[in-house]
Amino acid sequence: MYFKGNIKMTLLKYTNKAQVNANKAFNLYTVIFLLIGYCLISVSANAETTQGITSLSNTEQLTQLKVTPKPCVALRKGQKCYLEVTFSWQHPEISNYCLVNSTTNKTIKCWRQQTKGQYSFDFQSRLSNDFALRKQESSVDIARTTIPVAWVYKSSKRAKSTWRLF
Amino acid sequence: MNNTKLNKSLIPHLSLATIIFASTPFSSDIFASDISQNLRNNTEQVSDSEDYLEIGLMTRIRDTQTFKSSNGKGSYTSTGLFINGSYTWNNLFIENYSESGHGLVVGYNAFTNDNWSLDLMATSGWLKVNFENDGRYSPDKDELMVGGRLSGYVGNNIVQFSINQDVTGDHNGTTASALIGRNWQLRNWNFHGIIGVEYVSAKLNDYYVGVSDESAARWDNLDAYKADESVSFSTELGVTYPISEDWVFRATGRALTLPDAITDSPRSRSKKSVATSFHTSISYVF
Repeated sequence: MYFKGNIKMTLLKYTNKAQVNANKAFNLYTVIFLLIGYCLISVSANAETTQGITSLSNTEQLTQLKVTPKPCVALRKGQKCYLEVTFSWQHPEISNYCLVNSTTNKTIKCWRQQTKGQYSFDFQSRLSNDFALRKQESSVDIARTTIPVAWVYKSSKRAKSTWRLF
Repeated sequence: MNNTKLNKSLIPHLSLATIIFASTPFSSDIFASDISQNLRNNTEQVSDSEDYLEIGLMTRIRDTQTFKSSNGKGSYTSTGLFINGSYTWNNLFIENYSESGHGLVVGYNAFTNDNWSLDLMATSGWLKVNFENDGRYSPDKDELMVGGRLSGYVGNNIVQFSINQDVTGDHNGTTASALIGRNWQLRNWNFHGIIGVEYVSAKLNDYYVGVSDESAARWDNLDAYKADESVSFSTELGVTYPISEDWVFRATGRALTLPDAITDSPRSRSKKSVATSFHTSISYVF
């Protein structure tokens, strides 16, 4: 709206000046032409983008991968975090799907000829892990989710040696 | 009364602490922090004290020695706020851990290597949470002691030796302690255990529980008493659990032997040989 208002003011300004100076009028029309062209291209591009988002949104609405609860909280950074989590997913098409830990690239569980599924397991990690729903034998992520690992006490600012206490 | 026995028993402990203190090699780039804090936070090194601040609410249950002048009960429950935190700048540090039994600590990291670290420090009673059963009567005067703290890893354990000397001139007393502890992680629960021994000089004991000839003459029910040095033993078990990124739960139980130098004092009302305490807290970490 702000941008449109400015264009309108600029347009009036240039129109008044065009009555006085023909050369300036020519420049004005050029500017208007360029602006209109720019606006048309922008609107067109936005429409395409919106269509893309709408299309993606519809797919996302139908395809879901959720994990609860999260995050996993450890006392100190670097400590292994433990959390009993439950994944639930759904997809509009019946097919063979797999739940994959995309951080470690390991398949956790697969379902045959299903549109939804649920799986609970004991998450144990020092770092946040990404998970994805994929069709079996495919490496394309259909839906993604993350189990973030958080800490209360962050890392020391000082250098650490390689050995550990326990 | 049993002070002769105590004198004999404390010699090996002091010798051990002195030998370790004198023979440990040092270099510099890490910092020690309080052993209880290291164990509770399950840190990888004695150096892992980070800059942080937390405020919490603690409930304490104590069963300890009572004194005639304190009007206090031996066993009681109390609840209060506490502040924990530390800040380090160019080897200088300031810290306050309510669980440590000290108040505010200001210090300088003098030497360090991967396994050992030595801090020179001054401790006060400011911000002190008095859940630590030391069996001594708490005077109204501010405490100020200076000393050193050597922390290190021995196998799977953290050890800490410390020596502190009074500088207020109130009693010129000295304390020396040796603590050893370790922690275990069971899922997200962090357990720790500490056992320790503490030497307290006669000057310090006498300041707290001694009865001068003048006081004995002034009060009918007090005999003159000069306290001797003492050695006491302590043990602690605790657990720390991260409720969320900002909230931490803690629970700790503690037991401490009370030396004859304390219990034999005519100032004592009850004569317990062991003081116990349990505290649980929830704190917000900034």
